[in-house]
Amino acid sequence: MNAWLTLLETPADGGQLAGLVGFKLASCIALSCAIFAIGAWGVLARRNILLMLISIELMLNAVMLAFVSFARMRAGVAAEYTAAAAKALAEGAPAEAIAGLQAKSAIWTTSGASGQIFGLFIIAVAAAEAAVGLAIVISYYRHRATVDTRDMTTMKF
Amino acid sequence: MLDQLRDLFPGWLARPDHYHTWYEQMLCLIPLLPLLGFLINAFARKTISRGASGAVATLAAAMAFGVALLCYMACAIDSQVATVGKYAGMVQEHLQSRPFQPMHAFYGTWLDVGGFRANFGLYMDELSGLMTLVVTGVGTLIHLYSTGYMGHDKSYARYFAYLNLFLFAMLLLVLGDNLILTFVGWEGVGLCSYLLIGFWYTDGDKAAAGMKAFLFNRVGDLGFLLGIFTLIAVFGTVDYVAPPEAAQASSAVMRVPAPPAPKGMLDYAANIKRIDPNGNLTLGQVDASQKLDLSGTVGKAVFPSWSFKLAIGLACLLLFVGAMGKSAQLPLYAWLPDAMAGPTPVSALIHAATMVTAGVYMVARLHALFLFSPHVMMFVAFVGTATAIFAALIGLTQTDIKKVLAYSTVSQLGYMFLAAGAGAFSLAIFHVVTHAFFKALLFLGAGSVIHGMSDEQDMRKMGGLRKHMPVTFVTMLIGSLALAGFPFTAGWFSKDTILAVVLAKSHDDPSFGSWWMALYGLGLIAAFCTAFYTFRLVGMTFFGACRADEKTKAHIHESPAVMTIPLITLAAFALLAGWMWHAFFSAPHFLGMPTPLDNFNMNPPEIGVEATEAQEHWHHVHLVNLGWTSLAALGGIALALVVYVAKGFVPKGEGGNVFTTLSRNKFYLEAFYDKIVSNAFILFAELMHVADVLLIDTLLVRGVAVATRWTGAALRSLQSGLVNFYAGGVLVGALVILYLLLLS
Repeated sequence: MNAWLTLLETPADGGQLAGLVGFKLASCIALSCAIFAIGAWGVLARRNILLMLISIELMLNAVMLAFVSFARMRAGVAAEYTAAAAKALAEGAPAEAIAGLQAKSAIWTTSGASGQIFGLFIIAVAAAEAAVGLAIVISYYRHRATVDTRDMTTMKF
Repeated sequence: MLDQLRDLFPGWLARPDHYHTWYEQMLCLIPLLPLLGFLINAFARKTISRGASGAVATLAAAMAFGVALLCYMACAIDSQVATVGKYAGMVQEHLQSRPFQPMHAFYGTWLDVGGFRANFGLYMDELSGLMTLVVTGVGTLIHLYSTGYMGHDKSYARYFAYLNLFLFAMLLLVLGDNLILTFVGWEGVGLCSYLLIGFWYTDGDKAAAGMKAFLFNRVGDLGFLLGIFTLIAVFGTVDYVAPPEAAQASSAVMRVPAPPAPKGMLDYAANIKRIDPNGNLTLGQVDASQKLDLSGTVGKAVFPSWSFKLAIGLACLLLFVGAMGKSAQLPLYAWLPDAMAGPTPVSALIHAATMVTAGVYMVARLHALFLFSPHVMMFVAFVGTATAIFAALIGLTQTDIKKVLAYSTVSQLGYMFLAAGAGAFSLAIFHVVTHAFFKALLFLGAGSVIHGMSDEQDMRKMGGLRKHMPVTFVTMLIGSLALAGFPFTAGWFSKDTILAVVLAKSHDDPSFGSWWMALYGLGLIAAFCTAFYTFRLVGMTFFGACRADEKTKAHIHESPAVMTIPLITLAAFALLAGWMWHAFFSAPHFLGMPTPLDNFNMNPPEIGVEATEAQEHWHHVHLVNLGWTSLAALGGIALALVVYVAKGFVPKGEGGNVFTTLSRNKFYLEAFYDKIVSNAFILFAELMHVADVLLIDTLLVRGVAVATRWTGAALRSLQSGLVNFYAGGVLVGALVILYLLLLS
């Protein structure tokens, strides 16, 4: 759990680069968790199927927020390494040191990009889910004239 | 070519350098020929003609006998050739130590499970070879006789199919090279016995007699099986002797990892010679366990050494229980007299000459194990003697001609076990052989009488038949003399020597000495009874006036040649077979078994050599015994002749004194079985029925159903149908997984 908290409060590299990231990762993740919790509570407590769908959307978006937050953090770290590499080149540092900094920059860029791609995926999946879910709900409403889950219990024994 | 064949059939041509390899491979023909006869008669039962059916069956038996004879001679001749070649100058000595080269043919692996291995293999040594010759030889004669005796029966082919199947099973029993194969034959002969006793199955009594035989044998077979299991636990193998190299080669070809047992059960006891280093033998004083090398057995690692010996003793005891069932010993004897419900040739072959001696054969086969446990040996001797005297006493008052012979068979089997218990295994086998001849002869003679008397079996309605059936009379007289132990007939040689050994043991066995004396006394009384009831049978059947009704009397005739030829052949053997006593007594290890006579060489000492003390002692014992047994046999014969020939006494079958009543009612042992044992079983069965209803039906079967229903009723409230509830389940599950992932 400690490792998890550390990640929330400070970026990677033990906080060495924390000041350079430029935004507060911890607040973004806290917001994500709050939205997720609200969504989960909605799914459990709401009896209106439409509201449950909306809650699911909330949870999806909370997860997406977490993804892009971490991606942003990684992009910041990558920018710092790129700047450090440029500075080292200007100062005439050994080639190995410059190459190491460039490699780290590349790694952080790539891993940061995957978070953003996941964000896009989630938008697509959420849209599809909303379309199918709403279609089912509308169809159901036409047959039964209700959107209350308490009336949708025909599958019990 | 040969090499390729050898690759294809690993067991085939395994020892090309060996002189009698080809004969060895022919061993399998001995059981397979009767099997072929069985298949032909069984499947062509509807279409085959009567003549062809009998011819096929008889020919199958005769050819099996021919092959057996060839193989046996190959064993004997081979060893002599080898001896002359290898040990020129020492021929005599070597021939005496091992005058027989055993054959061991391996045809494949049958079971190979977890280090335990059973083979299809046939093993012919002196013991199994002799038994094979007796089984096929007597079997052939009885097949021939049956073609005449069963001539009027409508299920002719079925009869011969059963008879051939019996020969197959019996030969498998005798020739099998391991206990499992022997057990297959053991069960097979039991099945054929059942089928043939109940051959005329439309008669309820006869069908019931078949079932009785089967049930009594089941009791014994259970003991036999448990004995096999015990031996597997002890030795880890069921082979009598180590399988030939071919078995090991085949294992490699088949890529079976189980290592072949390096030794057979008897190999572990191979160095028991019952002769101490000084060359002196003391009866009953052998501590076999001390001379036993048990390293390498499976049980050695499991059992402590003291329990090891106990385990072997237990196995012997259990195996002997099997022998009790098969060989009709007390208390499992009761099926054999009832087995006379079958056709008379069957009584001769199965219930006198061969199958019932399977127990004796098995004990002799495993003699090396029985030698480990003197107390089990003593038990064997006790049971044998008790059976001998018990059955002989019952035989005194029977009026059915076949029942007399049946009780006589039970009694003689008792003698065989007495011999085995005394350690004289080769004598037990000697008695098996001579008994096979004269008892088969007597049964076939009785069959001839019954055939001539229009299926009458009651001796009270016979009499005076010697004029009508001269061949049957003379041959049966010879058989009766042999059974009674008249000097120089076959039975005299075997039975008297058994009693002589028992008398010798009463002097030489320090731990059981006086017991042996008691057994000897009982054996003598049984011998007297034997002589008496045998000549009672002869007197009532062949002498005096004919007591049959007019219709039967007009029909009395001598039997046809197919029936008299076996009678004459067997009579010749009953007269002369005893003269092979020399082979049984003089060679130190005839039949590959140590005998108590090892040191009592009956040959007169060579000129100039003084007889040893042991020899002197044996001669003394033998002479004393000779006096007593001759007295018993001649006394019994004389008394029977006086009562039943001179005075013409005919028993009424009722009344009489206490003894005759007891004897006629078989000492109420069968009534005890009927009343007490059967009812106890029925009571037990009722009890089990109640237990079945309460425990199995109610508690287990219904209980499981009820418990399932209750559990379902309790759990189905979870299925609310409310989607939010299920979503909560998903969430809780996800949290649990997350918790485990992060904290582990």
